[in-house]
Amino acid sequence: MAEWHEIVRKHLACSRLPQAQQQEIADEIAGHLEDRYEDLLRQPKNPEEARTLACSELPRGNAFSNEIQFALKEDERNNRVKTVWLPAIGVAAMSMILFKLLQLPHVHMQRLASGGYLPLFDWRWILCLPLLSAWAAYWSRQSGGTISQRALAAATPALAFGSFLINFVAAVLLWNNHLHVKGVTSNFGQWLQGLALMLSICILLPMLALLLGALPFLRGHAEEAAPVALAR
Amino acid sequence: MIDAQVKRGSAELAILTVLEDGPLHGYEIGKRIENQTGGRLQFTLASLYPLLYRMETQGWLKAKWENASGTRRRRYYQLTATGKQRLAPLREQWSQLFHALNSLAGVTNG
Repeated sequence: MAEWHEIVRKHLACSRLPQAQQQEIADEIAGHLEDRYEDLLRQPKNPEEARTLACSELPRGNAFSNEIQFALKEDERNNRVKTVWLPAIGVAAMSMILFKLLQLPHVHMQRLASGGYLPLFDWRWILCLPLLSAWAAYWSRQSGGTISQRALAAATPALAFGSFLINFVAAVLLWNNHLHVKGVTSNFGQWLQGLALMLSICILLPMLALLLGALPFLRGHAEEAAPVALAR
Repeated sequence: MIDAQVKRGSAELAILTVLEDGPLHGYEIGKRIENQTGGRLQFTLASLYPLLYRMETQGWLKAKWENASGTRRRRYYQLTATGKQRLAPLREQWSQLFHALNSLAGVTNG
């Protein structure tokens, strides 16, 4: 048994499973190999042949530990979709639609830094964000999300909006040849100031508004999904 | 080439079916399936355990360690209420699939 245990442990060594869980899996798989070995001896096979055949059931490399890890984490992944990604996508889509709707009558543009353009910061949008984030945090909590998952789901519009704008502005600047090395180094202070302003109005302020709205729903317990443990 | 999802679905049905009669440990599950299908369905260690763990995380199976009649301890799997509920529609789906394929191929039963 000890020998089988050692063989299995080598196969599982590279997995990122907790030590106790690895130990239990190793116990179970070693038991399986021993059963197989005994079966093969009864067929009858000689001990060496039986040992080789039993060992051949374990795939080479990391495939086995990866497969087991993937199987054990499936529940966690499904849970993350329900508690983070669905509320996050919902609130991000709603906030983008709202942003667009608020800008329909007249589109404001503001010149920033070294020639980049950025949609004007809209107070009405910022004021609506807490309502959307409250909805996302509530959704996440109802799905069993932890506090960090609820906060992440609620803050997604700021992260998505910020990353979109950073990429958009960077693309515009590059397209207009405003960001070639010489330009950046000569106007670095101004460029940095523009970047800081952009980060503030596109990420930090919306983020604060979103977290404020989510705050009431960050309290209270969610029904945590049972950890995947192999019960003894 | 049989799709991985189809293989997985059929393997789930096989495991749920053999566990319907009572708890079994992993090796026994594999042997039981092999024997009941006349050796046509065989599970390797690498295909059986990830599937058992997946089904356990989905709540279809429950496992516990037991020492059966003085032998070394083994991990026994048994169907949960969710697993039992899952079995009936799974059987129905596979029955329909085979019926459809048989009709298509012109194979008659019996």
